[in-house]
Amino acid sequence: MSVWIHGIGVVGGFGCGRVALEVALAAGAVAPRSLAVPTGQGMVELPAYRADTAPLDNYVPKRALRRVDGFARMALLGACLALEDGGQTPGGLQGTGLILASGQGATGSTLGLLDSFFESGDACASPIHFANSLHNAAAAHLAILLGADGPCVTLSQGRLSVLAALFTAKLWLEEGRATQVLVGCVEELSEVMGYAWLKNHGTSLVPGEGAAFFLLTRAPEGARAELCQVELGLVEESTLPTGGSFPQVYGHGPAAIGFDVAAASILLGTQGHGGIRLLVEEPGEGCGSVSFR
Amino acid sequence: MKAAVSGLGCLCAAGGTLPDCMEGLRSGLRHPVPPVRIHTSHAVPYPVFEVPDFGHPPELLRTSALLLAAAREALGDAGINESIISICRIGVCVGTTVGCALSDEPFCKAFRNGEDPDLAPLERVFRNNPAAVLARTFGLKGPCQVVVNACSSGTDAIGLGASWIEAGLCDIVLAGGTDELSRITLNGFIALKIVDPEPCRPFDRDRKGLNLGEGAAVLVLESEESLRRRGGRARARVLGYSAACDAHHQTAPHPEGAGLRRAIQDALGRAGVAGAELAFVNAHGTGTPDNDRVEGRVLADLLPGVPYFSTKGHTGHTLGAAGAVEAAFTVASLEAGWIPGSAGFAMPDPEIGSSPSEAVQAVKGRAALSTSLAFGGNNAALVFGAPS
Repeated sequence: MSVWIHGIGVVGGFGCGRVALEVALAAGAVAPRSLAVPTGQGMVELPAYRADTAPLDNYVPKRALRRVDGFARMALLGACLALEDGGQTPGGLQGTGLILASGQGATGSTLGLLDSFFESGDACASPIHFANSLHNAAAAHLAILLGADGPCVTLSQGRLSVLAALFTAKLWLEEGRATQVLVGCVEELSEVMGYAWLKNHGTSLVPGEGAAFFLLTRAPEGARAELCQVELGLVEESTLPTGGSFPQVYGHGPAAIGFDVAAASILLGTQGHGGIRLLVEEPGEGCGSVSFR
Repeated sequence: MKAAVSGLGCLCAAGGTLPDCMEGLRSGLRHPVPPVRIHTSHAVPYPVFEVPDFGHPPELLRTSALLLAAAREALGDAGINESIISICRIGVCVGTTVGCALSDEPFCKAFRNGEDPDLAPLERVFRNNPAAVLARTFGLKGPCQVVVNACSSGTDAIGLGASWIEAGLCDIVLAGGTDELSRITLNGFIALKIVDPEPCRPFDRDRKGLNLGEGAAVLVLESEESLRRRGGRARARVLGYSAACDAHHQTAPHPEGAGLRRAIQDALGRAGVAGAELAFVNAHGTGTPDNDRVEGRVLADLLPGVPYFSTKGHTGHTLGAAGAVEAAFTVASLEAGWIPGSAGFAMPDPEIGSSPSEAVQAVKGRAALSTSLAFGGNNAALVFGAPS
């Protein structure tokens, strides 16, 4: 059974929205910003593709965002953009399923929670940081602020997370569990993740953060691309061409896989490919593929 | 055809194997004590339910090691050996909360203190994605994913795994949940003021909150064709699964249980089972005032007269494992024809308007329901049925 991508919502180092990514892909490169990373030798400026979530104010009242952390803000903005791209507005999404994927989760809020009891003792743990540190907190913010009351799940499988999410979304639509599914991946370049990147890669590879969301339905009319097949585990050979990655547009790291999927969907429309297949391998965790046409 | 349950494995504070756990539930005895393996500085020694005498290799997180132990028991119960594994497409779908979290406190503390900590502890955490550990350990080649849906993770993982079987994506799926007791989550739940300083009292009028626990459970889900090919036997079937979000509050359930109602009704509909046909409900029943009031009312309204119980008085709240642990108990109870009492329950709550089972009782019927409610407003329901 076919599943169709009706909306693409992206926020990353290239800017905000499908058109911004399309422009960046056409230009071929975007200048990174930087992340200040504390190390034993002092602060180090790590070149990084950072996501600016200020445009979220256009979609969600500021008051509703008081307790929403940076990770969930990226998710919200990506989801709102995907809805807008699909001709829908946030709110009243009865029967809409939500799937959020993240390899690392809200590491900034987790570190904030740990800070709260490192500094003042176990009895002073921050309840807000605890609630935001849960892997599914961002999906909960999405469900509440968008009014999506269908099934809601958060998945974590390293670099394969976004493929796991698309795999599940396709199944939900085929099983009639949701009328449409808003599926996305979010990765945050927190200080601690920046530190880990610096230790592993130095400044030779530029990491990226952000969110990539897709509005999926079973209706082909008006769709941007067809999500043909998602495979996890042992992946068979395919005759479809394998899609590329664009690290000079959105950086390296787990967030890049979601942007790869968005880029593939966009390139199908702009370059007239017959089909694109992305292959993703996570050493020690398996591999997967996703095919579009 | 609905996915068969061909093997079960479980360990938690109630017992080191599923038969031990069932014996523990039948005995009514429980052992909540202040944590032994972790230490906190709270003035109150909050009781927890730890798995005693459980060692594991240092490269594994305890969460992963608990899962492997449950998986070994489940595979053994199903009669699945290496030669079967080598020819079958076997997927893994596992729920957790702690297993995918930035949980190494010494690393984080050193980082915050401006030191230059080695990345090994952080890499150990990321290498310990429980589903990946399970797939690597047994050489499984099918889809593999971790569900991090807070307290409904285990239930959702089993529901998703059953879908993989029904869709023909796998011959066999190892589905379940796992979580170790963690200082971070204990501090977090205490900060939210929903931990009972006494042994927990699910559905009781005087309940004050949950006690944390730890454990793991794995269900071997299998297609009919695979069962027939290898001569296996079904202990039960996953007749229906559904999930629905309250879209209401980050940490509290919808006051009318809107999502839970929809999840239960849809799961029963998919199962083709009427509420009155259920032998029992294994409820989430955490012992928190909000959860038990909402869940108890929904059960009383939707499934009047169907006996229900909570096993968290025996296991504590095992978070990402809870749905799987309770699914294993549900299948075992359905097979055995009895349900346990709800340890900790003594006084009916007039706000709920119904009461859980107070003691071991015999039940009749060929189907049972297991429910989970979670932070984020997630609600999930599984319907299990007798094998034929």
